[in-house]
Amino acid sequence: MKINKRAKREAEQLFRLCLVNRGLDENRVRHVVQRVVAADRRDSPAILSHFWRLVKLDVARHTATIESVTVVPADVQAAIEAGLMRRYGPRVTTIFAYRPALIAGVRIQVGSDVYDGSVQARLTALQKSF
Amino acid sequence: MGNLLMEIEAQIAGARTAAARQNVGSIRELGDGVAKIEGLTDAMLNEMIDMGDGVTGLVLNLEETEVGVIILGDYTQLKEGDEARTTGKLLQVPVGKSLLGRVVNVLGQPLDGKGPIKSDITYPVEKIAPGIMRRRSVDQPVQTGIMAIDAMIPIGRGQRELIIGDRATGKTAICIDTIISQAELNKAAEVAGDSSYRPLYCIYVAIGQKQSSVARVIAVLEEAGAMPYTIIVSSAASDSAANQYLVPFAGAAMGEWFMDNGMDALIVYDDLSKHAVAYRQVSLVLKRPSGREAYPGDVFYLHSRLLERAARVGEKYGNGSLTALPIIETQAGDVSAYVPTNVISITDGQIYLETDLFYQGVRPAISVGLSVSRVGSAAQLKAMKQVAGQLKGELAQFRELAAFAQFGSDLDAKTQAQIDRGKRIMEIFKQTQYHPIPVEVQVAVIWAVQNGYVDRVPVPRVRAFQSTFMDFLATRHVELLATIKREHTLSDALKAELKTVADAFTQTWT
Amino acid sequence: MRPEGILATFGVDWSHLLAQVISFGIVCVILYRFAYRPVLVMLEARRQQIALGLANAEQITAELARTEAQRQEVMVQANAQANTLIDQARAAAARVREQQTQKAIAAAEQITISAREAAARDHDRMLAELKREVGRLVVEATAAVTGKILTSEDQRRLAEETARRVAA
Repeated sequence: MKINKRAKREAEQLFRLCLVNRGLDENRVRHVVQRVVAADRRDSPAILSHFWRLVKLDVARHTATIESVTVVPADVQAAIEAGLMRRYGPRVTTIFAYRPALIAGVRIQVGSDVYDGSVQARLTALQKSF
Repeated sequence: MGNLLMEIEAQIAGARTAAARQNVGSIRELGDGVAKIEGLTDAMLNEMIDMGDGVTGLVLNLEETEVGVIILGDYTQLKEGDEARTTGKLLQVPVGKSLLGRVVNVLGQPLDGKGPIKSDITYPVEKIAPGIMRRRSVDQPVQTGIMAIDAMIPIGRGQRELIIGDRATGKTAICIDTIISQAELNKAAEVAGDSSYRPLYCIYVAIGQKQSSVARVIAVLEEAGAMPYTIIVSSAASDSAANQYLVPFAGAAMGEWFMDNGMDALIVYDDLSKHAVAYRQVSLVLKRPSGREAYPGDVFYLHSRLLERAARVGEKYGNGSLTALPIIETQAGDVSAYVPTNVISITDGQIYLETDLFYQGVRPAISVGLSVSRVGSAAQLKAMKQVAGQLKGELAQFRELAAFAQFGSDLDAKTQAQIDRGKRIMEIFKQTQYHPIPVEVQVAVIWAVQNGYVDRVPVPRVRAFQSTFMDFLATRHVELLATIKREHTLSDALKAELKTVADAFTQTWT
Repeated sequence: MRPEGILATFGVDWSHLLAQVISFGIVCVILYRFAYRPVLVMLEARRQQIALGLANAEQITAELARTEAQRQEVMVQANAQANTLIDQARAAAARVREQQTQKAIAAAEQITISAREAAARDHDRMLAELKREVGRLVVEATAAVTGKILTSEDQRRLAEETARRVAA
């Protein structure tokens, strides 16, 4: 879908309205979506699509996905969460996932930042260096 | 074999340390050699991005939610959703003498199948040009081997001289002749063990050329033995526009290594019109706003930052020089189009090639009236200045009078003499392709012309006279030529010797 | 005998004699003026011509001798020039031959060098391939084996390492 500049600008304005204390307020987001759908203008889909993208990116920036092979011990979990909160602010939500391809170790992804301490990553790097 | 095992063990040991924080993104949109990547929050402008599978990208657009990356490599293997990561490095190419004699692409990867390039030094492709204080004035000549240029439009080391003309007028031929001439001079100095001569290394950058043309250039240079002193950087017409856009900067980076290390280099950009077209394509795909003739607004900056990197730097700053010969192809002789006027204002002079002259048989088809070298005789050998100082004026007068001569009216003796002399000078300046003439022979020939030895030769036989005279000098009077070359100036004794030689030749020539 | 008688005996008559002398004188004068002088002039002219001719002849002989000498000189010079030309041509030929020999030697060397370089390149390429293969095998082996060997202690240690890097 071609999102023209006006639709983008409006979506960005709506997104900024949803920010409360530099954090995204879920209720406001829902409210905005309902209102735009109700308004049913010609560029509503375009606005919503760009708005959705901005929300998705914001959520991704504040979501930490922690992938591991075994269950991470509780104290290590706490340490990781503390570190993430210090670096990315208190709004970070953590999700723990299981990914056997890692072989061992932990891979943490927050937005575009990746902390990869897994064995698989080291092996891939080693192979590339040959 | 023992070495190999130790290397492998060292690499395995080195893999123990885990990677630091990385920055990744995923491809949201991909097309026309440009990828829009979401994420990559730490990406910097002109940073190299690793797209996986050995494909590199270059960041050109930084937007709020995404990054515009041009792909340098095979983008057909990439898909939407693929992961890309930053490398923290600017685009760099390998540089150094190990590149001499090789044909490489924009990333410095070899194209000639002669094995990998062994070089530990890399230079960034985009670099700021030397500032004012780092520069030095140009006073060393580049002997192109083409008499018309060396006599009337001399080029110096560190100068930018534009070669502009329509298609098929001999622009590339001039550059190839220059490269061959430099190779011959370099070889002669090596053989003679002359350490005071600074060799001039050449870089030929092919931008959007047909692969058959590049192959022909390589064949000619190999036959002339010029490849050991030349680097060929090629991005042919079948390469992506991103590659064609970056290849002159890669060539400039290789030339800058020579400049920074006390050596002289010459770089030929063939040609910048295709470069501007490639940049236009990249900019339009990146949705940047377009201006006159659909070129982006910064097409002047594109060429000015490229050409400003060619300079002569002072002794403390590298003591080298980089001479640039950009080529521009005009359409129907229109030098007032957008890109030609831009480049004319950037360079230190132009050599203007005309189709009319070409088809009249004047090859190289250099229009002496419109060509200029703003460095001029500061970069000319004193001997050449002595004999060729008045040539440009004489030819200008000849051109004016030639119009009269067409009407066949009766002319006084002086005018007729000027016209005759002018015709003979034009004949002398015609030259065969791939046969550069050494500067001492040029000096001798022009001296002979200026002193009337050609006046009695009928115009159609002037070239035969010239070639026989050059043979005569080269085989029977080598010491005279060597003396001119050594002393750089025509003393009275040398002039007397030249007179004897010329007299002896004219007596025996039929 | 008386002088007059002698004269009369010999038939000499004063008046006749005088008349004859006068006639003779007139004839002499006439002859001198109209015959004798032109003849003398003509003889003088002829004498001068002969003298001129003789002088010319001398000059011509001298000229001839000089020309002959010059011709000899020119011949000698031409000979000398021809010799120089031949020497120069010989020197030029020797130079050209030397150049050609050098070129041939250089070409032969070039061929040897290229052959050697090609062999070295092949060798390097094989080594590089070998290295890559070994690397791949090592990585595959490690990947296959590591998961089974690592204990929970090791897993914990790795996780802690990553946590430290996040916090740092």
